[in-house]
Amino acid sequence: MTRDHNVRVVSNVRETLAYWRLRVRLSEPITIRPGQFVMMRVRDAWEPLWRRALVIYRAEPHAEGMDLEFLYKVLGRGTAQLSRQRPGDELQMLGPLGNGFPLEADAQADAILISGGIGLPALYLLAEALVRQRRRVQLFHGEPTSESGAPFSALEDFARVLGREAITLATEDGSLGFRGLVTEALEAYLEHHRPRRASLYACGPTPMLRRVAEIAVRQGWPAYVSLEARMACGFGVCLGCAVKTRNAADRLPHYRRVCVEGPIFRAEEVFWDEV
Amino acid sequence: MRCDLSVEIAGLHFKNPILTASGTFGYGLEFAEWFDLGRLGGICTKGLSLEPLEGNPPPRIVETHGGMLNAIGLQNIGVRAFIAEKLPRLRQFQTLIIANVFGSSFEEYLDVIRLLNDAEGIAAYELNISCPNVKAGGMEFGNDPDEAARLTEACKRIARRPLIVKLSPNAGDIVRVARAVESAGADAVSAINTILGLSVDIHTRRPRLATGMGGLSGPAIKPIALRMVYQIARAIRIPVIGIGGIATVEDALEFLIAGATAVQIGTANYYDPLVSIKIVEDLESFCQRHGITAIRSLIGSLQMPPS
Repeated sequence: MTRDHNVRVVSNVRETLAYWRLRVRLSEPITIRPGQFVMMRVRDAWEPLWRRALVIYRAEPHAEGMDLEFLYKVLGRGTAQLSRQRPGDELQMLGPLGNGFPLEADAQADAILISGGIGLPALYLLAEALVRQRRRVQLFHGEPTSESGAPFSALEDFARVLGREAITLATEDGSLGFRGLVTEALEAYLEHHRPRRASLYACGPTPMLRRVAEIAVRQGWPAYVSLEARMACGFGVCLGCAVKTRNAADRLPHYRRVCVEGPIFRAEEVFWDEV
Repeated sequence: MRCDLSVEIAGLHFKNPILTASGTFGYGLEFAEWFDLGRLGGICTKGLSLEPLEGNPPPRIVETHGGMLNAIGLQNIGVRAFIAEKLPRLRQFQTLIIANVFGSSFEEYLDVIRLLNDAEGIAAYELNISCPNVKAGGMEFGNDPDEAARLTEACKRIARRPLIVKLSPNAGDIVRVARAVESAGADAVSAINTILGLSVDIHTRRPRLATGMGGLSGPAIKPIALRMVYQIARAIRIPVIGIGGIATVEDALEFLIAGATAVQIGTANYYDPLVSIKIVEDLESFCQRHGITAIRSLIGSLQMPPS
């Protein structure tokens, strides 16, 4: 159930130039759907005003409760403050929030996961769940360059679940792996292997998601995208995170809340010109 | 010894002076999973218009130092859907429901009130004449004392419930507007709505909100809100409900001392959905610690130095 949990920092380390890994401990296990997020706040901090939305990267139940892991980049005041928290410090964690990826759908199809940059952590629990369903899973991950510190240790986590051969890393400057955009790496793969049927699951920058949506339409495959938006609350009342989507029933445009009706949407529902 | 936290506004008995502000508390039910809404003095609903409103394009919000700007554009499900889908559950809680009323024209305000008049379980109306984020209505009534009075008078004539007028800090002289709506028959005023503000992206040289400007809320506006509530409370006889950056019991107490009969918690609900209940609890313990037997005794007790 969604609650405001007091959690304790177990570890909080900078793993590469760009990526931090936070591990927190809850006193009791909670049920999480892949792709759900939390709103995190340093306990009793007055600044910044809003909590920060963090997707749940990994979850590990144990005798004392449950540990959750988050990957993040330090991009502003909130994440800078988070990066200064030490083991033992307390955080207020509202969650889990959001709809999560649908797992029931397309149970027979291959699964192709596509992430760009800090979109990667949204896909780990999904990868685990899909593997449990005995789905064939591929991961394509893109970075501008490996020099900026690609999330190597996180990719190791994925490799343990999916196998190393299931992972393709793309860098725009070609410093590591495929040279070019992650969506170009995906298209090269599709061209070469011509899979009959697959579902796409993606999280990353909007241009990447948009390209994934186009590829899905061309292939006639379903695609599920995890969107990001500024959120003041995360539980549906501020109406700040509105995104224009086509309603499945009447096909008319409606604003929906990324925090409650999302963050996962079917790619064809999204008005990409207005994201 | 228990402290009597109750206050009276327009003949309504509020069990405590802690209310939640319109636009920050959904239709109330969103918070029912967090705590018993019956522990609040009252709830102000999201602004209700005659027809559903889709709201403004995103981005609609931006965080600033100690606050945030919003330009939601009064997205709401419309008054009929509120009455049919939300009110039946909401009125089961032992708290006072204040319906926030919005119209894009003079007539629309009246139409919304007429529909609400027939609905059960509403304690009062709060007239939103101060939303900075919609083109028509809202501000054009809130910034002009004569227009505000004209609308108040017309609404009062048909309203079967007490009428609270929510005032805009963007008016040239908020005290004049307060006096005008009092003369026009308002039963109480609430102040302040958000302060018009702007945030600029220096790289794109565009506003950070899709619509340009937006309403500033949060702790950053508290001193301004407090000053205005103090000035309004001195100028009129009807009760003032204080709003503006309240996040703790100390903030709430400041408003009561400055002259507010009750307060509304707004932006703080976003980052802490339990904040309003914490403030109710902290108010009880504050009174016990300080031997205050009735919260009413604090209202307007500010001792200003002689000017």
